[in-house]
Amino acid sequence: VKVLATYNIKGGVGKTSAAVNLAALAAQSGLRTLLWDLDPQGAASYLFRVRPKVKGGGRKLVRGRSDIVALLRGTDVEGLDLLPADFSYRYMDLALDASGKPTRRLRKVLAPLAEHYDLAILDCPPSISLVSESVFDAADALLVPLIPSTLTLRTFEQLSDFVAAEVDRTPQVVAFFSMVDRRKRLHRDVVASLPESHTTVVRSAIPAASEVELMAVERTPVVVNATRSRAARAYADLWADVRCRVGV
Amino acid sequence: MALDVPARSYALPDAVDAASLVALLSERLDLVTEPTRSATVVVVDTADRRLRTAGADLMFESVRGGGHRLVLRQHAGGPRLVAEAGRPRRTLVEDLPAGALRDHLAPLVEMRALLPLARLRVAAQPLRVLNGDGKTVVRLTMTTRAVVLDGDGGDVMLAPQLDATGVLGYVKDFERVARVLTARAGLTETSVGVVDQAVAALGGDPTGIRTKVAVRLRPDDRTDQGAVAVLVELADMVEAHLGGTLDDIDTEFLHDLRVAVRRSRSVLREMKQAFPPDELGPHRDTLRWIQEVTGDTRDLDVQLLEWANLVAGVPGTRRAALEPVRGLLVRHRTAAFRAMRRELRSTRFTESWRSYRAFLDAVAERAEGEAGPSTAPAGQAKGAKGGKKVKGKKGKGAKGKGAKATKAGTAGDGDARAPDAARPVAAVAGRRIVRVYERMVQEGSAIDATSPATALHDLRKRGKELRYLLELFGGLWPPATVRPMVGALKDLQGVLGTHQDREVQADHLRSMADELAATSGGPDALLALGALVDRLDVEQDEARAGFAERFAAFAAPDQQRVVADTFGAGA
Repeated sequence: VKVLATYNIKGGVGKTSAAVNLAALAAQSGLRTLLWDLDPQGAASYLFRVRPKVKGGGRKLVRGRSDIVALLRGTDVEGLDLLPADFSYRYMDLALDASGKPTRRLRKVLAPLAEHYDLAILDCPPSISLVSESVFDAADALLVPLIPSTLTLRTFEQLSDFVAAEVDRTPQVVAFFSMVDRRKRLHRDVVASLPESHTTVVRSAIPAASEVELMAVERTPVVVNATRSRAARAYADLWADVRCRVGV
Repeated sequence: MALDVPARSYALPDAVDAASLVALLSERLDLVTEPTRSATVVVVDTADRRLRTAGADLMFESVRGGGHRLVLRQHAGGPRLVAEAGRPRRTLVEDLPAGALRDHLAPLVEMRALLPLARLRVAAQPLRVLNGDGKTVVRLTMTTRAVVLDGDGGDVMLAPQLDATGVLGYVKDFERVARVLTARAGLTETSVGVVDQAVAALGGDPTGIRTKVAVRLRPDDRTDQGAVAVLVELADMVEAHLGGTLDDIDTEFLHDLRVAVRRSRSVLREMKQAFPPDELGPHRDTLRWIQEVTGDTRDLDVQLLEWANLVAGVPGTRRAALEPVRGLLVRHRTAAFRAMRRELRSTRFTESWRSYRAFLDAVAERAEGEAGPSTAPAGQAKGAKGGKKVKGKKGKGAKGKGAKATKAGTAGDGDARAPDAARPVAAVAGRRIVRVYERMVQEGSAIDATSPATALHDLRKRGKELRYLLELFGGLWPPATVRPMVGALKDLQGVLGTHQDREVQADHLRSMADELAATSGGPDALLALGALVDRLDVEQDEARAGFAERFAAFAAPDQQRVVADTFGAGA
């Protein structure tokens, strides 16, 4: 199983939107796909109308004492299953810290599911913590949404340096632009220039579109509900870039 | 751990229209109607329906924008597996792209080709059942399917069906929906698969090409009648596998054809006293000749099928150097296949096979005439899957019966040329089983570390005789006795088979040395070939070392008593 993680230290940059739409596209392409909603806010679980509840909570799960298969829920997208969020995930750092080799825990938790899935996407909470370090260890690639702004480059370089220096099992980094407003010159400039100077940044860019915001109302990925929309096409382009870069 | 998703299929009565059913179900379920879908799909399986046995359907589906994909659905639920594919045609597992579908199919299908069985026009009305959160918890699909006939034959409609598939983690919802479907809508579950319906509509056998004899013999049946009923089925199998052998669809067509021929030879040999020897001779020659002309191709098929396993034991650095050996084996196989195909398409084959079938017909007709009118109807017998009862009266026994007038060229009751013809089949088969078993015990007991390889080979051939007798006539005795005996025999044959196969393979590889030396990469390949032959020799030695233990179990005193008491009782 290939493991991808949508990650950014900041919140509200489009991690969950990317995770659910890429997961849906992966399942539609025939890959047996798992989405793990690691964010205690449970936005991805909410979008798929799955109750954000994990029997035994995050502590039991990271210690490997849960029947992980019994926690899985099929989504409305055929071929896509969800490991739901739980509010107890807010203490996952503590749970990891209390376990042996905390940065390797999430990889161990996922191991029994490897035979059932071709792809797992981890939707991460915004932070740099033990949870994110464990995610970096478990992931083959980090998908990093970037909002085109003056601080974007600095934040992205910080993350890349951290991953390269601190993580034993270095995941590939694939960054993409998110919430792009083409009316803004700064956005247009950054989107045009950054991929030139940074090969880890792909050209596909997710627009700041109303249909993406409407996902929270429709509770369905745009790639399922508005297949011909600009946002859906952008996610399809991003999925093609990710497949090519990561080799899914 | 398995991701089990429940799934059930229900027959839809012709009188039920989709709208009425949806309206009825909507009274109890929160239903969402999806847009209808229509498509043409091609269902595929191996000739012997291995996917049916595994409880799965595999279909080529068209992909929007062009191309096809293969989709596997498992009847008992489980994930749907998908892989990109070319146009629907004969496909080997190794032709599929790497991934979950290929991994899932490989152990099921093995070396068999996936073959298009039927083209279906499908019209589907998908429905989703929602829970209180608006979440899909069960998927329903009302489907009508029609088999597309070749040419202008039109379509054959299949029985409409409603398929219910659960969603992972929502088993209770599925059970609730299932109750509504049966109790409220009055639907009944169906276990007849779509592919079975389609194959039957095309006039085929849904269980696939037959490789097992399903004649239901009774102990008192005449021996010539029982034997010829078995031989007719075996001859049918040879014919059923001939086309796939000539078209080289996969290696198992030839293998199963040869097994049917070998079994036929075994019946003719073991039951030879049920037939006049002058009639039997030419047909035994025919079957031996077929076995001979197909032997080289099969030996090379085995070499190539086992190639990956064989070279796995060779050190990695030398493995690549063996590629010219494999290339040479492929070339030899191509040449052997062409020679075999020439023989199987020859006038000699056609005429001698026709003569053999005429012989079987004549024996069957004569035996039925001798036995008088049929006392048991032919056809499907209750309680015996696919079994056919043998026509005719019970055997009267040859002893003490006066000779009757015979039909021209065939033996009749009391004919000295065929003393076993009218004897009860259980007596004759039982006598042969005891005799072959005793000879195996005698010959096997004489084998020690100094015995030549031919001694083990001869014992293996004898073992095949016994196995075929037990497989073809073992149904006349209690399964509790026959099964353990077949098990012990199979174990013994396993080591004898490995011993013989390794010798044949090593001899063939050694014989390739000169030819190999002349090819590109030949010297390196020769060195690696030495390692490969060494490995085959080691495996042959291991098989030989395992012989004593297997033979001891097969020839144990208890076993000898059981054989004598069971099979010798009526002899």
